[in-house]
Amino acid sequence: MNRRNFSKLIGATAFLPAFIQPPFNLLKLDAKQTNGEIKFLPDELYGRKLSAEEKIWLENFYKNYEKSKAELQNIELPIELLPAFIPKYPMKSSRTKKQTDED
Amino acid sequence: MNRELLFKTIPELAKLLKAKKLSPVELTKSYLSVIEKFSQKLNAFATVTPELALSEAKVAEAEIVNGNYRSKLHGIPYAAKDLFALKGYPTAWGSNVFKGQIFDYDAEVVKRLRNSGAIIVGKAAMSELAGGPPFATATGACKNPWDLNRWSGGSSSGSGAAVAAGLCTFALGTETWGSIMTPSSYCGVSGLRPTFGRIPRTGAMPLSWSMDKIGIMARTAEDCAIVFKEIIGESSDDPFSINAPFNFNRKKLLERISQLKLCYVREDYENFGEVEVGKAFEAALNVFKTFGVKIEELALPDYPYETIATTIIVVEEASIFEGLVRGGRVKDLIDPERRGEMLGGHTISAVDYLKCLRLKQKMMYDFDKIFEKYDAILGSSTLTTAPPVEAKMSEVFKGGNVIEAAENILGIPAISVPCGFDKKKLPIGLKIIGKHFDEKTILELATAYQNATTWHKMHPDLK
Repeated sequence: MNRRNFSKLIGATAFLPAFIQPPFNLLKLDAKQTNGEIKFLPDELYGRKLSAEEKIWLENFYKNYEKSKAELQNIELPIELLPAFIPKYPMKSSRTKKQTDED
Repeated sequence: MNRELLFKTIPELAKLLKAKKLSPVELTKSYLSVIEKFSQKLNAFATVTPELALSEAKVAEAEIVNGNYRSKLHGIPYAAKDLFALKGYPTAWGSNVFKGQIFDYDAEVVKRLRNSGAIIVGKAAMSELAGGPPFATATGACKNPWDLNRWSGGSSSGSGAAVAAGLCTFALGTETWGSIMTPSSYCGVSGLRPTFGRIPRTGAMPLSWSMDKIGIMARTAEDCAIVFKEIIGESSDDPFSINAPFNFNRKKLLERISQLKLCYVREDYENFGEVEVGKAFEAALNVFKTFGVKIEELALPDYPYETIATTIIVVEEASIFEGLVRGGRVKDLIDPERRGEMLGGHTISAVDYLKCLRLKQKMMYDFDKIFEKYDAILGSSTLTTAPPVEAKMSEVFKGGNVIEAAENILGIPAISVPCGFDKKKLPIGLKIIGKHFDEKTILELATAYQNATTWHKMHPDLK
């Protein structure tokens, strides 16, 4: 196989999925993954296994909260918008420096 | 018994008490007798404290007789939401999980009111752990004095019902998201939710430490201002509490108000509320126009307000009530949705929670710009009147009124005052929102509105 034939083959392979569908099972992704819903539902919290009832309550919470979570994850905040409680650096006087001097 | 006396405002009662024309003991006894008659009908109280009330009333009477008049609240009976610690009395926070809980200290606000000479007649009923639908309370759904088949609102349910029914002169409530505005609107009373940090929360159940506020429910905006003045100010035990000036002034009110610039939020009453509420709001706007104020429509900055508020509250309450999830007692909460919320709060990522706090900071910049242009924002306290007692949360809060989430995230003050009635004879509430620490402006606007209207003077005919 020379370089030209090899290129043709690679090109043809790239189009293959358009003509030949892979087996159905391979494409059958979990619905929760494809529409961006929350997949994570824990079996336990604080080392305590959740009861069947608790799992239902939790699942119901997620049904209501999923839209909110997606809404939050779609917002990209500017990096300079830091939370108010994080002080801006460098600090005016460095406490660590002072302590070192005293030492 | 003179029922009219029980609906008098604080200045009216204070005048009689100070002049010794009315005895604090007699006034307290009158309130206790109507509490006995109507409290169970309404489910308005978690605990009634007659012995404590009468002993405080006797002290007040002796002090006033001896010329030691403490404040305008001296000898005035009030109720505190069951979320405030009252030494030696049950404080169950509206929940069966905390039934029998007794603190050996008083909440800071209770102490401050005692120092002012006010008399506590009981602990007002509340929604379980300050949230949930009508049935979610250990004391039974709190009924609306205007229609016993309807809810008084939540979570300060008993505070709203007790003031509206004339079971006390004023009541303390709290709001994290709508808990003062909603019952004030549904019950037709005046409710002040001050700026975050204005009133120290020491001894009050925390739900969301970054959003909880203590407020006042009373007959008029002026009553709210009088109580507010007595309980504001820093406390070393609440690191979020802060000192700031407050100079409410009734004199030359209209002259000052005519200089103000207001804006309003147009709500979708047809889809999210009731058309009659919208009409009452339009009528209220017209009253303000007669004062000569400029009013423009406000377009709210675009934020997912409700998502931010929900995320912050759910995460913080999950942290506060971690023990309920850890120990499995979450199952004992009355409302299944709340159980899910408590569990779910533990699984929301720290990144999402912090994103909400960062958005809050951005919102503050945007709202600062709004308040550079306007002195206050007008809106409807709730988009509906009181729903039936058996209503589900999704029916009670259909959406709209997103500004309520914004107000609470930002911690800006607001007052709800009655502004009309619907065809079912249920009260409708008008909301006036102000900038941080500017309770003065909203209280003065509300007072001017109440001077020009009579909605706040109407009382339910309970039998």
